[in-house]
Amino acid sequence: MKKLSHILGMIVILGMLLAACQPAPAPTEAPKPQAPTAAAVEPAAPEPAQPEPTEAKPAEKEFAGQTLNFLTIQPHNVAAQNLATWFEEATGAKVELIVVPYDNVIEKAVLDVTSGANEIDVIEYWYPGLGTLVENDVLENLDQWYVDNASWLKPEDFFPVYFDTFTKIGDSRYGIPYDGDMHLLWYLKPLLEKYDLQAPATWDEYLNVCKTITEGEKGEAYGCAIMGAKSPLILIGTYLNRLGSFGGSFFDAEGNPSINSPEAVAALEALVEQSKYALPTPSAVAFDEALGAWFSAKAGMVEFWTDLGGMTDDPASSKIVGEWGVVPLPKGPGEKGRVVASVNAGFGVGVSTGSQKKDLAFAFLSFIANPEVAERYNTVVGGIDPVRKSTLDNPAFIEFVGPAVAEAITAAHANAVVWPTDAKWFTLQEPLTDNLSLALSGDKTPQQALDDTQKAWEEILGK
Amino acid sequence: MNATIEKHTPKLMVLPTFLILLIISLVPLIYILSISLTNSTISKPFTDFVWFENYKKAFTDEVFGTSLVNTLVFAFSVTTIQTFFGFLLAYAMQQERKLGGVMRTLALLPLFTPPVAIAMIWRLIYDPNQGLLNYYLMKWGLVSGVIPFLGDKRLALPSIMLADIWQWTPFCFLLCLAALQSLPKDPFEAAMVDGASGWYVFKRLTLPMVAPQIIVIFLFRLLIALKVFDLVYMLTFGGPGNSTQVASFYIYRVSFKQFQTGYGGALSILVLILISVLATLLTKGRETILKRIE
Amino acid sequence: MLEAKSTNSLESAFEANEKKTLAFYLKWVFFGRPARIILLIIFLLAIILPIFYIAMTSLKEPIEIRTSGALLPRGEITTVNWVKAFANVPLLRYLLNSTVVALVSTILVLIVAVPTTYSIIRFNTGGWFFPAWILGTYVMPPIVVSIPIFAMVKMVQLQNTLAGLILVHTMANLPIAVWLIDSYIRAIPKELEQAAWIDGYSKFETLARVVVPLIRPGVLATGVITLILSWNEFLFALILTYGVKSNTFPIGISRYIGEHGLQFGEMSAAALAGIVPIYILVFLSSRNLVEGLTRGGVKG
Repeated sequence: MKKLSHILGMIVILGMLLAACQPAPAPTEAPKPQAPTAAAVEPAAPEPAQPEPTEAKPAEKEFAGQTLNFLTIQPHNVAAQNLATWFEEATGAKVELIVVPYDNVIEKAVLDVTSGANEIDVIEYWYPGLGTLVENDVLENLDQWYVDNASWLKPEDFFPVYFDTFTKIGDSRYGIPYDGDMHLLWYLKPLLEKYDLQAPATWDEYLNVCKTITEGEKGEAYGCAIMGAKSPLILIGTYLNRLGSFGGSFFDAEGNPSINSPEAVAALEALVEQSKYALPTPSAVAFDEALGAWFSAKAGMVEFWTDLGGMTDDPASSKIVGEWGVVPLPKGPGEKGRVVASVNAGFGVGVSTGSQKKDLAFAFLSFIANPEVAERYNTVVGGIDPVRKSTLDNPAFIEFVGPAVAEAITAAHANAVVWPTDAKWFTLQEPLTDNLSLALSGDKTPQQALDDTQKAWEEILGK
Repeated sequence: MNATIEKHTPKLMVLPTFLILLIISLVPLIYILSISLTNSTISKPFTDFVWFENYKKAFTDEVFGTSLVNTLVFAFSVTTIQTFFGFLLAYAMQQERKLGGVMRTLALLPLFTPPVAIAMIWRLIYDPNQGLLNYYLMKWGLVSGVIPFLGDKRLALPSIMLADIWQWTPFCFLLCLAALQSLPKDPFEAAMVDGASGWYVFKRLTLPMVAPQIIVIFLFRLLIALKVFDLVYMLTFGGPGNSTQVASFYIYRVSFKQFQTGYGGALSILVLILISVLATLLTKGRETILKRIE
Repeated sequence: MLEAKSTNSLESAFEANEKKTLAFYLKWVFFGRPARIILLIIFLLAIILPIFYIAMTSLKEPIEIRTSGALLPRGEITTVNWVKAFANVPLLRYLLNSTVVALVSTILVLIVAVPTTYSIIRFNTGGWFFPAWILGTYVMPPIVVSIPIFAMVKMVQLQNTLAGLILVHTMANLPIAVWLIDSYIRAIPKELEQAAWIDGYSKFETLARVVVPLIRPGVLATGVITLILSWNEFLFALILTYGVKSNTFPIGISRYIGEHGLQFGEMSAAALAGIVPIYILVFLSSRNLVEGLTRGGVKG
């Protein structure tokens, strides 16, 4: 009996082991037969979301009764619900939302496809993860789709910075730009006026404004709120605002890491210096803390996305309705100093290679890409900011965000700096996040922190 | 036929559990062990066999080292504090039977609050600018400036510990209470008759008698504390710096953020070995302590 | 062990040197009634305060949550968070999902755990190794096994279903259930079972008709604890479920995040909506529960 149970046990173990190994080959094989061309051509033709408005309500809804799974991020929950409703009206298909925190979206998509679960049809992705998604064969190649749909899609209308950064890896495209968003510097007029200060144009002035207010208010308010919580999106975003304007970059022209360049170090030194006077304490300030301070008039300045104006003017959550101003991010010092708008956050949409309903998935993709649909979601509260040049000229949009913000956005696009989208970026951003956080907490000097990052990056990249 | 079934009934009874244990422990263990010898990423498991490269890398990985130290500091601190207060409260309560029923029930509440909700409560409490703690510290003039509990590298880990202590002290309290209640009455009555002081009875009777059970409580709680993940994930993400980086969270980061499942597997194995060695040592230590008490 | 040897040395009843050490203060706590009561009341308040704070937060205006850390709402009490919490997110669906997962997995755990524990204790099945293995499984951090578990759930095509989550919770909670039921079965006198065997009961019948009725309170307490562990479980639910049809409550309340920010008020309301049913359950079963925790928990 004992022997028998041993043998039985061995068999079970072996079976389980084989089973555990199973997902490895399965997903790599499954998507292959679905050649991108074949998959892309087909759905393009019966696409309901044509540019002609007359076709918006076709008599027969061709996808009636079908269901599509759309992976979206929590902050865009409302926007996605809108899309789902509109898409169902247009096509009859139901859209189920899979809502995850913004920093879990890449892992959820990768896990879904690599495990062969294949529940997700359409993916909204954070663009620095694009390379990771493509590397892991999660997104469908859209080259043919772009060729077939160019007439109504008008790709030339997309801001080039979004279009190329959000969708292109190598020479191919894997998604469409969806939410383009960059940081601007928002300031609280009464607080700056109280100390006779102007909105800063350089980082030196920024430091001065922050310091003056913080020292003057003695804890009642602070000159600036700096988001330095330990999450790549938050911390690297804040750093990039400085890195870019100081004239530094993550990689040099040859693609080698240059994160410990003199400009990069100066940028981090500036951040560490500013954080001494910022809302306590940057290391623990994420969106909620920064917004809380901003809405309650406790922060004089905050670097935030372009939709903050609309949110600030909602009296239900803000005490400073109509009291804010907005300018581009400050300029860095010296010869290399420039004005930038860093594209922190920003999302694209693509079709999952694991989708079992490619026709429907492509139809939904086309629907989101449709300029008229885009106009609808760009002009309601939902956090989706324009990715098309024409939207910024649209009176409805200017009316929605206010002329000042529209102007600032237009100006900012000329100076956009972006995150890398390389397949290795997700591995690279963790040591950078660690070291930025260590510099903020005073465990390392800026020079040391960035030298260590450079070393870690060279190791990872094998250079 | 019936006799055969009857004979093997005990084995049949454990069969489902045996299968489940295979599925949740042995299969994953073999999976992790084999993946840890490769340079796997999430979409390409079991590729690029590298022998013990990942383990070598782990031994020079500073962040991993920090995370292990933090895990141990966290686990031993919270377990000691929770067991101490748990016992103190249980002993105090045993003397106050009227409060007992209410207390016992209320003490259960933190245990049964989802960690997500607990993290949210404590985030609100610790917030420097809109949180409960700083509000009253400032209002009553106890501090001159706000205290960034989760943003200061020296305070972040203790702050997470406090949230954990809130959640788990009741657990230790209930177990200690049971230990006290299970003591035999006779020796205590004899001591009373002899006119011994309360303190003397406590020191010479109660303490030695419950000690073995207290040590078991300590060990069990320690094993759970070593797994800490939720609070770090939701409160600090390991920051500021690496001051709250703990082992579970670091493994999560390597496996699910950087997608280096091979390296993540190696780290998992090292953590498992560490916990097993620790558990064995503590069990041995417990026996020694018990002998000394006797 | 329970035999205290010091009973014999009671002659030296009073100790001479009483220094103001930790022991001094401990004495004060142990034997001074006011101190003891104060200590207990502080404990009680410490437990309740954060939960009370969450309740108050759910009644504050969103703007007030952002601006003031005061315990009580200073402005008017509002129900807007409660209304929004139920309107914006399918909270009832999450609660339903959680209930199904927790209940079914608990029943499965008990069905598996009781015979196993009985067999281990009465027939010494698996020797020393099997119980050690069970406890060892409980030591493993869930994050460590999450990838292979996900792969296995996928293999049986149960990802994104309640059934998949039920199975995983059942397996994950089994070790602790065995550990808790253990001491109940130990407490049953062997003679009762032997009498049953003589009456011609099979081992299964003995378990079902003699043992189970005797340990019912213990089984109930164990059930409540696994129920709650499953109700609170976060990591597996995060990985294994996708949409509304399978998301559980802890995943659901982490969805109350608006554009670039947490909705603390709505989250508080939602969290309370989920916690309160559990609290009621705790109050109803507290007697059994405490006994179950305590008797199962400690074995010297």
